[in-house]
Amino acid sequence: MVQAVGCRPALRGFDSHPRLQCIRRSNLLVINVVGGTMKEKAVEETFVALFALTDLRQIFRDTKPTFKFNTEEKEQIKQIIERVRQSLNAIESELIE
Amino acid sequence: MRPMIEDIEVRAREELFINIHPIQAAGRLTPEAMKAIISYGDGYSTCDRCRKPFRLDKISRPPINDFHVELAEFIGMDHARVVPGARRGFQAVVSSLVEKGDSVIVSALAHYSEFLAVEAAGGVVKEVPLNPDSIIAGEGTAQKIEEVKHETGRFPKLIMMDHFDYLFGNEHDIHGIAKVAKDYAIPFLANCAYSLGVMPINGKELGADFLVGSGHKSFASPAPSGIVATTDEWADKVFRTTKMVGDVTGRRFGIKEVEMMGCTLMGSNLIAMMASFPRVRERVKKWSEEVEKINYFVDEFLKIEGNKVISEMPRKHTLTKVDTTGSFDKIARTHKRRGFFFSDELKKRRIVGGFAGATRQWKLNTYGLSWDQIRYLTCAFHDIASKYGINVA
Repeated sequence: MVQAVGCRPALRGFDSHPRLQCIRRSNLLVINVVGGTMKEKAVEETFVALFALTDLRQIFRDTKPTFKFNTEEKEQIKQIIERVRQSLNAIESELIE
Repeated sequence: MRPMIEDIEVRAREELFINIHPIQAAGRLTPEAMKAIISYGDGYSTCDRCRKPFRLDKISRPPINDFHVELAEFIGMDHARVVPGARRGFQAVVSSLVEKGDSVIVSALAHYSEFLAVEAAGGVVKEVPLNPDSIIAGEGTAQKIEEVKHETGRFPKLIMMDHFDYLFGNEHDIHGIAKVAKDYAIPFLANCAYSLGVMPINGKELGADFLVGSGHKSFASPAPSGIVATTDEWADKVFRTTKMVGDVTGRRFGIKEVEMMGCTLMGSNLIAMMASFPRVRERVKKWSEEVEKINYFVDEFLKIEGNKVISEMPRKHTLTKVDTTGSFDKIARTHKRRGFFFSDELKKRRIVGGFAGATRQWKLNTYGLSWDQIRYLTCAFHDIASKYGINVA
């Protein structure tokens, strides 16, 4: 893949995302948007889910090695799972359905 | 744990085990830093919006420029730079001040990278011996300066001393040493690799001309990362910009700082440091509780017959050297697994980070453990002792 020199990325906020590929052909820059339409929502929700799972990772760190969760931690875990589920639903709806 | 990719396994010891590794404790990432790595892991990720004058510490989005200002303020210095580890901080200062044959005063517990920094500059280290309490004090430093003057006819060019050392985690007389440095008009570098980021540090109050810290040791940041900071007086020397001109092209790179090799800590390491910074700022205020926890732990640890603490007592730092020659090592002498029996027993109880196989003198660090985890750790040591018939008071 050639660096997208001179290409203005269509996906704002994630400028270097690989979905935008610039392919140099006969000295012409041809923009090839993989998948047709930018899926900004799906990308954003991917990060949201990863960040939520990172918060879960922190709960593991805070409670190891017994993992005896208090009420507050149980509530946090529920919220994280729900947040990830919402993100996965949004991703599925953007990419698959 | 399944492999992440081919033969690289997922590292989940911080999620699954209590990790008492002596140098890993305060470098554990905050969740914000972990998120920063997810988002900024690509190579030159910090350079998306690098504009004139094209230098890392001038980038405003993400706010790297503001971070440098706030960092300097946080540690009580005028100017700060991020570097790939404390060692690069030593190197920048030493390389700026020391010439071939110059002497540099260091501690008898100096980190090896301080030696290397001096050697790279062509200097010679002169070590201040420990006093009977395993502390470097102002008097010993003054005495060493006089010895160097007597021996070489010249005063040392730099004094480089550790606030807390890597071996015992003892606190050294940094204020006294700074005063001696001032009396002799010798610049003073305070190596705060084990203190900056875990406890309140103010470089000017310490009397330091240069302050060096470690991101991966004490600032909840990935390796390599570190901090070098100085005062207005020394900034132009250590952070001097290049004067070099290409003889064919006439090119100049005027904004680039020679000792920093231009831009320093690019990419996710810097963004992770920045992401951890708000929590680091808060956590230093809770240092006394960390000290309370290590002292609780060592008090309980010493209830095991034969156990000793080699570091100064009461503990002033969570990094601590202990001696179990009179307890667990006695078991190791006849156990079929030798010293590994001890690490096996700890691992069974979900504790890692001790030096595998070591049952004589070894180090641990309790930084960042909760009270529940500290009590769990204490019980685990008592439990192992009881299992092997060692008395627990």
